[in-house]
Amino acid sequence: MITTAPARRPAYAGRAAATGVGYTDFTAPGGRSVLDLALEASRSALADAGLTPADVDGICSFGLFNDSVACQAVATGLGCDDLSYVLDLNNGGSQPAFALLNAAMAVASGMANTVIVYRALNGRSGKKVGSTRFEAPSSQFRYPIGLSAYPQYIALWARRFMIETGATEEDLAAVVLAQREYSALNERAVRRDPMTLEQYFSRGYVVEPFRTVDCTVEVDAAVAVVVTSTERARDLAVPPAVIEGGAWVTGRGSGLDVADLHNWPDFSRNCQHLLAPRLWASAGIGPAEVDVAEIYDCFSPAVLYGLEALGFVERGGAAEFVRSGQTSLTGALPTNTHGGLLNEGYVHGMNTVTEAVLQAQGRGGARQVPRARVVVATSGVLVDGSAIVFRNGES
Amino acid sequence: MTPIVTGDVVGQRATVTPETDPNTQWWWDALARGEFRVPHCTSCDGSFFPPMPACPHCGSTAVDHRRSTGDGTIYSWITVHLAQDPAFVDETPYTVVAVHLPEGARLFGRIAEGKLADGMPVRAVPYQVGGTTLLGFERI
Repeated sequence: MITTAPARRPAYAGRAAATGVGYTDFTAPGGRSVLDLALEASRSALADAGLTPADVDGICSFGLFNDSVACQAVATGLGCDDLSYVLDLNNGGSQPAFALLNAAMAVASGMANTVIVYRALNGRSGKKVGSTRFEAPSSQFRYPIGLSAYPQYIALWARRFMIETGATEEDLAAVVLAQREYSALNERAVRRDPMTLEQYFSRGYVVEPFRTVDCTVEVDAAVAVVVTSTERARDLAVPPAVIEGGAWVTGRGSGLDVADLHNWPDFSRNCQHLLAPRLWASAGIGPAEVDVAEIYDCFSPAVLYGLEALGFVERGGAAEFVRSGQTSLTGALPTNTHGGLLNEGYVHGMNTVTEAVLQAQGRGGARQVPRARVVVATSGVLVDGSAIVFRNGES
Repeated sequence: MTPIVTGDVVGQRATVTPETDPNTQWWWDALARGEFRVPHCTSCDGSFFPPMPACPHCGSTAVDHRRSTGDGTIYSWITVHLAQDPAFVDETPYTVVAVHLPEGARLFGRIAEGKLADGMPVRAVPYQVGGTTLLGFERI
């Protein structure tokens, strides 16, 4: 149980906001450097906000297995003046929300005024996280037995989730089908074709119980967002998505590295279960006040875990919630409005967070949730993770 | 009995021999001798895995290890149909189980094809691949 959840809101809450966002093409043929992608997304995010590189005094990013480029390279490529804040994080999909929270802390503390947060990688043509081998303390107990990739690790969790909650492969399918309805509305998404249950079950297993379509699609891409003070954001070209709170958790049993599964007590409950009380306390709200949820979904069951973890549904109730349309655009809690990482593409959840920013700003286009005021985004589905809450700054 | 690993594996596994470290070498050495041992804390009497310099339950550095029967129960399992590592392509489909030992540790290992269920009793069995001893499990 969490014993250290803050009883009061953190100092940055409400004082920093996400403003411009930038994306590269997710379906381009590749052949570009990671730095080239990072610079395009960063320039695009600045232009979206009506800012220039001269306005930037901070950069924050994250990678995994050295698949990215350093913040200093992006500062150099943008031609920025002296920076007062730079943070290169590691550990992949657990990081995006946490990266924005760090940028918010830098802004609220006065260490920086305007921070670019980006994620860039050649995830399809370069280092594929799904199958990259990396040196870590627990690797020696996985690779020699053929337990060697994230689809396999998370399938072990999914099997346990199915044992504990009674969830079925039809329930995984429900997530995939629901999110295909959104990706059809998202021109950026890699997988946009609607899918029927029959089509789902015609797909082969990658690793039981996962089929190809239960797994995210790896892309060569970059995504960036600009964080500045709420006050300054009100004068920029797009509405502020005010950062109202957030949380990180490294739980007991986190293990020795990002793929160590030995010590986590319960494969049917992930990091989001642990951080939920801390998240809601930080934002001063509860799950009932959330209008849109963007849940990190490298694999389909992550959505079921996330809906339970954050208290949107009771234990075992997530699949029925999805199947009954409650996560659709007209449902009680529109969820993964970009089609999820499953369909839009895998930028390690940075695009999950920027979709939350767009929804909070009212800039979701054909998939905009009407009257979206409070939007939550999660990052990470195993042992370590983070989450963030945005509020529409015009309300 | 069905072998744990089938298919043409010898010669493909050079890239997947365990990269041992100073915390774990003793465990692999024991396994190669046919001994299944589990790290143990003499302060809190807890068991854990993998081997590490301090107890993850209480933080004590008073850790040793104990011989185990290797009897445990299945906690979860997967069957891999599409090998992510080329070294395992000829072995698909293959099954990996997560096993809970009554001492209080979770381990992973291969198991021969066949029906599996939550809580099914299994036992640790060392097996050889290309001169390397690895940990597998068999139904009991």
